[in-house]
Amino acid sequence: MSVVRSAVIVLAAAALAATQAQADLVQLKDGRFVEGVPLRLDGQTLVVKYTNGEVKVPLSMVETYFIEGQAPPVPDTEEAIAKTALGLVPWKGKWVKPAERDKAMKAEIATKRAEVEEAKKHSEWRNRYKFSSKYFSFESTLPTTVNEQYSQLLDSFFEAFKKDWNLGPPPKDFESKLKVCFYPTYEDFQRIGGAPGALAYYRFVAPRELNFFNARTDQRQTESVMFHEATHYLEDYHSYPFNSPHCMGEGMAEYYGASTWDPKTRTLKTGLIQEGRLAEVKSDIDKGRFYSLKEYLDADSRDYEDYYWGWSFWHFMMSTPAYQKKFKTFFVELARGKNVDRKPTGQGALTAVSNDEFVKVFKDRMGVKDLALLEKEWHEYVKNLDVPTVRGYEAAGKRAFGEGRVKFLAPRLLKTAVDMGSKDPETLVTYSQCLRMKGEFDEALTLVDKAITIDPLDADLWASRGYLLQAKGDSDGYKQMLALAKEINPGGDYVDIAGIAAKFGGGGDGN
Amino acid sequence: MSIELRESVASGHVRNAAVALLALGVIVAVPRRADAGPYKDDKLGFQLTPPGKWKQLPLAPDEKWVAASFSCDREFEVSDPKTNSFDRHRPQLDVVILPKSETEKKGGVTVEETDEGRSITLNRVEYKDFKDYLDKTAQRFGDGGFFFSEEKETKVGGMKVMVYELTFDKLANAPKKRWGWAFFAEDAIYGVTGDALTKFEEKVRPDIEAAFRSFKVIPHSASLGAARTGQSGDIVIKDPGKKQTPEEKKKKRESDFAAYLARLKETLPDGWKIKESKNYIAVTHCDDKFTKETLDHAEALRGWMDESLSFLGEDVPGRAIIRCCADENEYRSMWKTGGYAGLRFELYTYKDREGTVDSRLWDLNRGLFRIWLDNKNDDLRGRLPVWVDYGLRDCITNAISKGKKIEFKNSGWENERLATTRRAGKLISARDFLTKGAEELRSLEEVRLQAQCFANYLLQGSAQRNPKYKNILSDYLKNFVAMLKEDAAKAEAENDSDDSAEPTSEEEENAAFAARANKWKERERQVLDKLIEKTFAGWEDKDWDSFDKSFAKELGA
Repeated sequence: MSVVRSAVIVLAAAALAATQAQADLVQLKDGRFVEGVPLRLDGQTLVVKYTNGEVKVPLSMVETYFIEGQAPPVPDTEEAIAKTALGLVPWKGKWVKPAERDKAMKAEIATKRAEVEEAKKHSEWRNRYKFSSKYFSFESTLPTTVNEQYSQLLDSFFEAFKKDWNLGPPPKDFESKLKVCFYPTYEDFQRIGGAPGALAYYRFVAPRELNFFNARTDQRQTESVMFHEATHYLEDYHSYPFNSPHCMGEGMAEYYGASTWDPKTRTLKTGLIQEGRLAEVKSDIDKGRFYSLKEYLDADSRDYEDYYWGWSFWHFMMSTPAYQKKFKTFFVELARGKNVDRKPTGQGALTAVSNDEFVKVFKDRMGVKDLALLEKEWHEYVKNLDVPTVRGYEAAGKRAFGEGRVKFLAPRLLKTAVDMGSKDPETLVTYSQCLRMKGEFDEALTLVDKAITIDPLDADLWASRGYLLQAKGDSDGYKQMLALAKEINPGGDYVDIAGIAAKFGGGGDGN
Repeated sequence: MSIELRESVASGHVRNAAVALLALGVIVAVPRRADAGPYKDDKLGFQLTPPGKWKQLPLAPDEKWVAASFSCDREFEVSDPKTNSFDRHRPQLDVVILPKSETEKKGGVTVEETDEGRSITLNRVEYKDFKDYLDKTAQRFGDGGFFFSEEKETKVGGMKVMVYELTFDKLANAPKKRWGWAFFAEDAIYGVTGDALTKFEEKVRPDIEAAFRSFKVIPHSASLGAARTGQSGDIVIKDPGKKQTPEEKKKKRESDFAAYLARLKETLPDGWKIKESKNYIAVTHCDDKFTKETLDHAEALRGWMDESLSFLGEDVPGRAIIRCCADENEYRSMWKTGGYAGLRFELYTYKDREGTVDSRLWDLNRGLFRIWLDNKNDDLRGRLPVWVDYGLRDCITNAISKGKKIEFKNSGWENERLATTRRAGKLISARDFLTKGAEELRSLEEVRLQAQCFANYLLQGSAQRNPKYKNILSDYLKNFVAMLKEDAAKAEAENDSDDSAEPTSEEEENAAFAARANKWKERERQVLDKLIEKTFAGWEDKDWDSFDKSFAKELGA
């Protein structure tokens, strides 16, 4: 099935105009549909005409759209006037009789409408796309252009990892191609994937599966999560039936999760900074807390720190020439080497090592006698890592906001991210919340408006705009914005928690 | 000022109406079903014929959406050696009513002054339609990942009906299906839903769909979207100035309890009985012998708590309701319906025919202690030192009664685990329990079981036969309760001024953040040190060594 890539504006006959509002339909590149709302094309912008306001969507965000009943342009050239006088009408660069045009137009309407309806049908999981790439078998409700993009990316990642870790054919218990389920939203991932609270998962027992979603305003996050989960699969592929300790698996997945893929040069760049994880590490350091190597090298624990401190340890090992080769050898040997005491876990053919064995093998293969010295070196390394990038400031700023450092640190970091050109709506809204607390409503509003231009069909952003208008004393504007938010997403809950806190005690709103 | 999130519940005037009903001794007729015949509810306006032999399930009195529930007479099992999965499932049929007054709520916020402070209700639409209900409840009750595998519109008896099928196939123990039909009446959507393991779809689905087809909306005599009992508001902002005296608390509790009981009686299905003892009301679907044994045990444990733990607070625990379900299925239905408000007054247990003898009183004991402690001193909630919190609770969970005497006895499985821990040399000393913080204790092996053993040692073990150790637990907890009171008085006087200080620079903000991050740990350290100082004044290392040895001996070391 082919997805409509070009849009069509149909010059409708009067008979077709009666139901025009219901017929208009737009599909965004992230898979969302808007239907039943009149559309208008305005240059490079598609205007969605809700009852409570117009929402401008740049065509760059649009996969396809369909407008029925848009009035034909008035001819204004000499030739056009002459041809019109002869009773001819324009159609596809030619002048034809109206009956001929109407017939062709009807056929085109039918074709395009069927294509858009077909695409819409596939947005339901029961009608999902199913297709295969070189190494994976996909199921997805995203538009095919997005599916193509990510399937190529996963294949490339597979090949790069295969080379990096010298992977052979898949273990005999594995399917030849891993099933990958790809959802357009976090909500769909939670509902259909069945893993509330997680961002993605790799199911490491049969039937093996990888499930993740498309973060529509943050492609980098989508890629990062996808690389993370694909690493779990490839690590399983490499080590099976050995079940790596949680600390190793998550540290490795975060390390590869920070990779970037350049589609032009077809190269995978690894060893980059995982900005969000570094922000978490720095936050711990600010609290005076350093995760110890003893805590990290614990084969029995499943600590959350395994993700962010784990990432930093892998980064340290893989970026330090003196350790990189030994560390990779340790990882391979732990799973496959001789003289390692691996015991059955009782779960199928899976095996694991005890904590004592894990630490013993680590010390042996790394040639480390004193873990305290290595720990000191690791902590020094981490202290010196920095993320002077937009994503780094975004992550650190949002984290500081969540930690309550809302008066100084969060606004400083978020402002830096915004000044550096952040296009993350969450960053813009979080910064606007900092400003709202200081009573700087106009500046806060400017930030929310900027977020709206980035993601114009996010109802929560319009609600945020409404809360700010309310804080400024514009009750009518507030009501209109909330009504618009309800129109865009009728199922949303729009509650101004900051406003309630300000009114009934608990801070907020700058006074 | 504290802000709590609460379940959304009812307004005051309904509570008063329910109290009035109770006072008059009027029990409103509950819908009844002739055996294998139609089930008719004139109040809520529906009737259907559940599959033959399916049994009606009880609903929690505060259930807002489910109007009737039935369970299949047999359980289905499925296992898959390929995926190491196993599941057992008993199909269920529910009738759900979504009044338009709820599905078409306009949003906004309602603020109400209450006895505690201020209650804020967010007028959110909980379920916008039946598909939304199926979607959200399927997510809430965690049957695995699912999708709507079918969705179509049809007509039944001239009424618009939407037909849904949900398929649960990811991270589910075994694939399941759930079906739902939504009937669109004038003032509400009536939904019927039933489920089955996919493997047994052919056996179960025809019965469920026959029941769906029998469904009829009839005129209703009661208003839909009926009220619940309990506290109102999604957010409750407590006003410290409105702190109630023990007498006021007792009065309020009694009034709320009466309203809850009235509603319970109003919604009680056929075949259930009510039996009363001094402190408990058994609402039972079990035989008289089991019900009497349950009440006798509850009174014995209550007597023990009143006598042995009286120092935990000044309030007088009120009466509580014990729901004695006939089987695990009824018991689960109670937990799945009604939200949390009912747990203030009611605890659930069932006649367990499959579990080990050791575990049969666990739910009952846990519930009795939870309600008793909450009534006795609600300031203790979440504040007890971690070893007391888990240790005392788990110890009481194991209570058995012999006449009026209460004994705490580890289960066979717990004794096995304890022996393994002992052999591994990983027993925790008495001193460690009393001096180590929660974070450190949690990293130790079998800490919860060992805390339970430590509490048992102090309550009924050899500590009770040693004059020096006999009063350790009571002294320790008396000191703790006194400390809490002192702290509360101090905080009120200072009006939490420390916390409200605004930072004036980034350095101050970062310092405050670091201090806040470690505050609970520091506070915990202070509390533990103070308790040691007050309870173990004059103890030297040799005293601690003897104490440790005495406890270790109790554990067989």
